[in-house]
Amino acid sequence: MNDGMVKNNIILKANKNENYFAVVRRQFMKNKLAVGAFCVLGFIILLCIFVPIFSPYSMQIYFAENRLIPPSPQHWLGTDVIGRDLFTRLFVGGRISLGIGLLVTFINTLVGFTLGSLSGFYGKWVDAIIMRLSEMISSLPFMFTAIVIVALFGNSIPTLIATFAALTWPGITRIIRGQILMLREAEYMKACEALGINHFKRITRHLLPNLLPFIIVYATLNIASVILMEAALSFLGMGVSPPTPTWGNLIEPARQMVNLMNRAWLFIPPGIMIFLTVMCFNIVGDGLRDAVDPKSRGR
Amino acid sequence: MANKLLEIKNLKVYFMQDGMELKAVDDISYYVNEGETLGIVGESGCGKSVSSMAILRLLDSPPAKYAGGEILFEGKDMLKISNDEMRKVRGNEISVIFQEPMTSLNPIKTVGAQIAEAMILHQGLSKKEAKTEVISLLKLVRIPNAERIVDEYPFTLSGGMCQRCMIALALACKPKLLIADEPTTALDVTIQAQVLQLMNELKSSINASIIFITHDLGVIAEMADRVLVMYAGKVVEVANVVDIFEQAKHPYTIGLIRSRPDLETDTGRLEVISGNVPDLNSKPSGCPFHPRCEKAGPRCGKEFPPEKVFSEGQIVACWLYSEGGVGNE
Amino acid sequence: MRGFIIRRILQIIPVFFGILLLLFILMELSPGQPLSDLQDPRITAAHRERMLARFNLDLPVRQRFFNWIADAVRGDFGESITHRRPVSELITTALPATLTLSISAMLVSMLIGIPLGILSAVYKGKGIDTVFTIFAFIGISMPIFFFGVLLILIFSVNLGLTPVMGYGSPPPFGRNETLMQIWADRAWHLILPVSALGLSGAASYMRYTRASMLEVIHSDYIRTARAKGLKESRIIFRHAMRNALIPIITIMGLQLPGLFSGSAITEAVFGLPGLGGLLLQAVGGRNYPIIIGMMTIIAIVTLASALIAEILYAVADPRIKYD
Repeated sequence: MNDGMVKNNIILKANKNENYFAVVRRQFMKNKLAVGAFCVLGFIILLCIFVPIFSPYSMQIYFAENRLIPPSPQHWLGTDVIGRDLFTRLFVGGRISLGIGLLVTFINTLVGFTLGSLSGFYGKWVDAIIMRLSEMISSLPFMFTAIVIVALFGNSIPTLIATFAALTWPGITRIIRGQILMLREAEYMKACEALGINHFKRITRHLLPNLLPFIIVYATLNIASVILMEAALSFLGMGVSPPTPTWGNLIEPARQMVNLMNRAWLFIPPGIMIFLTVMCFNIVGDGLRDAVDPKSRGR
Repeated sequence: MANKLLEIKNLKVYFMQDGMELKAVDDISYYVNEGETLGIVGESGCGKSVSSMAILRLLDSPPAKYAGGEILFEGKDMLKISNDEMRKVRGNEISVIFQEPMTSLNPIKTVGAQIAEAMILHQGLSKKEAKTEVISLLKLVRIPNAERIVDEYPFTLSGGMCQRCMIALALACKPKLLIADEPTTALDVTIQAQVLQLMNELKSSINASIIFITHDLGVIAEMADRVLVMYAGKVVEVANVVDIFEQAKHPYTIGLIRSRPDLETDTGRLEVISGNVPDLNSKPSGCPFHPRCEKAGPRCGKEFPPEKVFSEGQIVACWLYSEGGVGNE
Repeated sequence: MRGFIIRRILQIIPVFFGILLLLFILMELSPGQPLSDLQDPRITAAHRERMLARFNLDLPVRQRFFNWIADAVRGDFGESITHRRPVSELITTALPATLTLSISAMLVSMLIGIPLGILSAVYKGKGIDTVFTIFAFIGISMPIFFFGVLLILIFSVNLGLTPVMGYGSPPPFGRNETLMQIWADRAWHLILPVSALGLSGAASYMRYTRASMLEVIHSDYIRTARAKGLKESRIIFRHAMRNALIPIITIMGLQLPGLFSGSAITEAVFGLPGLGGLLLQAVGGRNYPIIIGMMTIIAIVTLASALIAEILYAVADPRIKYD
């Protein structure tokens, strides 16, 4: 009983007053932890944009005599084995890691929304095919499949993005499909059907506004998990290949004993950046979920 | 003169939400005599359930806050006794029948086990003894095949059957007070009638006082000896059941009675009370009913009226009957 | 129940063959081939052709697909291109490390995550809940490999309490030791990897348990239990917990692919000889028989465990009657 009532309330709110998003924003602002995480995230993004622009050290040029300098006033985070400034590389790597996270999430949200609505709306064999396909993909461990695909097709950034998108769409597709199956039964959608409003219009005008909150929450959390996956894959040497830095391949030196024992500056900062960014996305996503879905509040 | 089994004095129950106090129950007083059935009637959100859940301190706190007043059950203040003492009262001396029979029973325990649990706890029966007791209870509430149903899970039963089980559960320890919180609202109309009939029949045999909460005046007419009318956290009128239907005083009670379909004097149209029940966070000042009241005057928005006692225990809180009236136009 | 299991197996079979087909298609579409001269310049064209023929890699993809299935049914998963050993043998050598790591990590996650989740829900909004929730966020957000590296850095490198890596002490050890000693040594080596994988899993079990428990705590039947006069402890353990844990069974089944992924990364960090390492070796040389064999085994394990989770769910929840 509670489920239906609360869900219907959300729907009503979203349709009745235009400023549903104002309500969500107010709810979100109340969650201090989430607001804090949001600010940290903004700061990290700004650093990723501006540090490489203003850094005196270039990405490409390196000096052999500057190899493996520990953190110092000239090189805030030290230099790597071939003398590149790690502070600069950290934020260039951030651009790539965040960029991949955003792009993959954008693609699979688009794919997930399309497939999910097709599946939810048309049912029957369309649904069966899409669901079996998503079952296939989600019953394979991501890491193994990704390693195989990347090894077969090469580890360029576009291949990686395609691989991540291809392996992560089932999640959002199921969410959208579930929501649509539920909303289809909602009174106002039945009214639309009775009024003869066509499928496309029903999806874009009436369903999309109601699904948007769920999509935004999903997307936020998904960026976090894509960043983690990319980092893990890069750590295994199957992600973005050097010299292009990402947070994942910046940690890779930790796999060598010498570095692990004596050169903590090589891998600690990128590790902290991944951890911090992912945690902020998770906290913001959680805060958003509580804000859009009163039922989950405080859970 | 009958003894008062339960007496509530100036009870205030507030809900804390976003730093605001929502006055769900705002300074109400009433009593229940031994052996009597008190009906509490009002629209949803008027505080009728909250006030009765407060008796057993069953509200989640926070957000609920018992902001003041006393709940005297056999002379003990239920708001002051320890948790352990409270647990000895719950299900034993006072028990509850809830609104949603299907969700009020634990889905993964058999109905028999759930009813027996209370008996084992309060009466110290063994599992075996409890089971025979449960079966006879189930027979008492007219459940067919009680020997089989006792081992069934709630989801295999219909809503009406579940509510009978809930009634059996409530009666398990022969309570002195039974709180029935809209026990028939979630049921189909025909089932409603059966359950009401059952409760009416049991009333005499169990010899307990009942607080019967409902928004349905028809149910009140069948069940209650005395009626309490609540509006937006306040008691607006109390009277015995005949007086409520024959000579209601408060404009809200009158409105409620007029808005019932009456088959005998059918005029073809139902009368309605215009407007809506106010939100708890935007409750009108003074008498909360005044924005919807046809007879309201300037004074009604300023101050809540004092109680005016009529003959035979009819009490009304309305400026119409108090000194000074509703004020000048 | 039996009908349900048979029906589910019938549903799983097409999914399984779909995965297999997908793998063959991927390999066919990918540029490059095994034994190309890019990987080893010494390989001559003639030698290469002989080798391809030997592994049937010169056949059209459709035929290879059906050949593989026909062989697999007889328990023959082919021969590794580089190792000259049967694929099944290589996989069974790598499997124990992965399974030991994954299963111990899963147990650790559940033993820590579920009780903390319940506590967190019961004391919602109190200090203890806040602390656990912060830990859960840290656990969910911490990359396993970074966590592993930190553990090595602290416990092995700085404190010298645990071995840095490996699945056991190097060879002289184990010749004269008893089985008990060998197992103790292994457990000693697995403490850090299991903690790394287990603690991050514990965080997500905690979140799920907390959410599930909160839902149950606010349900009508818990209010009924309270109205009966039951003690709070009995309400939590007898009424709420069982209901709250039923959905966790599903989570267990769903988390298995993630567990294998995590274990592949953990193996790499701690140098354990598991499936992850074998796969990384195999993909480098486009060792198709190993890739297919391993992915098949993993798919079977995850599909089977999802089925087992569904069956357990039905056993735990009387409302579910599969028939």
